[in-house]
Amino acid sequence: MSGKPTITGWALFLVLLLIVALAASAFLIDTPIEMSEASKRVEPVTESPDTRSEVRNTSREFTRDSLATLAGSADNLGPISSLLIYQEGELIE
Amino acid sequence: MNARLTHNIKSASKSVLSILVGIAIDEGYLEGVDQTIDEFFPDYFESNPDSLKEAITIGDLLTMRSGLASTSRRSYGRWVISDNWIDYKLNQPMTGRSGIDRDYSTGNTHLLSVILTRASGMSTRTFANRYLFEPMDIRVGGWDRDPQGYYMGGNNMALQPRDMIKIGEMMMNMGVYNSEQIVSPDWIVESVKPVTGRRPGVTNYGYLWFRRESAGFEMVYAFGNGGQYILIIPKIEAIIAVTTRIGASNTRSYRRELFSLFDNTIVPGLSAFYVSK
Repeated sequence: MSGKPTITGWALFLVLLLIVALAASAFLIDTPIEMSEASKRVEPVTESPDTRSEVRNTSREFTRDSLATLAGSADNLGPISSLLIYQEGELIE
Repeated sequence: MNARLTHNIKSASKSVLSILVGIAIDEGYLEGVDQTIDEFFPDYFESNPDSLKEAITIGDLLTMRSGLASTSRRSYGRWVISDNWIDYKLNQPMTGRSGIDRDYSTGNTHLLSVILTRASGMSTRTFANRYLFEPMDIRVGGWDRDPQGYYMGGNNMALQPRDMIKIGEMMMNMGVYNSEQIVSPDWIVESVKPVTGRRPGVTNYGYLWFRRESAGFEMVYAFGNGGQYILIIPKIEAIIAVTTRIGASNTRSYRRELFSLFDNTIVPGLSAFYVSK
């Protein structure tokens, strides 16, 4: 008599454990989905390198344009007869 | 823009000469910067023995510390109208201590050109063409010679501004141009190391290369009278070449204006772009 309730108790415990495990696994499986959805939402931010590179290019053009203009008009800078500016393998002109 | 016209780069050619000396050492024509000059002028020293002058080294000439009185500035005219620039220079009194006292003089660098010619058995121009200019596709325009036919060391060489940029590029790339090692990286490092300066306490001059700071960046540069410059700013991978019409301006105020242009406009612009990467 004393063993039966114990077996039933263990059975109940195992069933409960299974339910908890299933619930937990559902939660755990969901989590990556949520993360992936979250990352989708964050995607515009993760695309920001493009945005940054756009800014960089704009700034590059601005800098290069102004320096190129300066270099191109160097003849007008008093007695200067030529002004060449070179950076990272290319002439700015 | 006259980027393809050759232009007299005046004393900026001293820095080119520094590269040639480095190549001559690399190639074994010269022993090194501690080699004394006596063996290159045996006739002169046989007739005019002088232990102090005979002990002047190639390094002393490269750093303007020969001790011989200068043949530049007010003495330049008398030197270049003399019949023999070599003897005229070596005849100068020792007004300083070799290896210690700096006195800027094109006579010093002319001796280096003569040494290059005598050590290599070819004119300085032929030597430069073979080891420096041809590998870098640089075409030299005019280049003055002394009454004996030696190419002038440290003045009156004409280069295209684009070729001035190439010189800077090669220096910035530790002696490499188009994947070819033109001069050893050790020489590049040594030659731009400041060892002396125009005034006591100022150390801004290496082996015929100047140093200064521009907009917070270290700059190595070649300078020629009137405003001829090759400026190298390694930290931002930039080179600036400037030529000025000869005789148009030799004033200090013009030099200040140029440096103001570099320091306040060009270098900050280049660095802004560079650091934004």
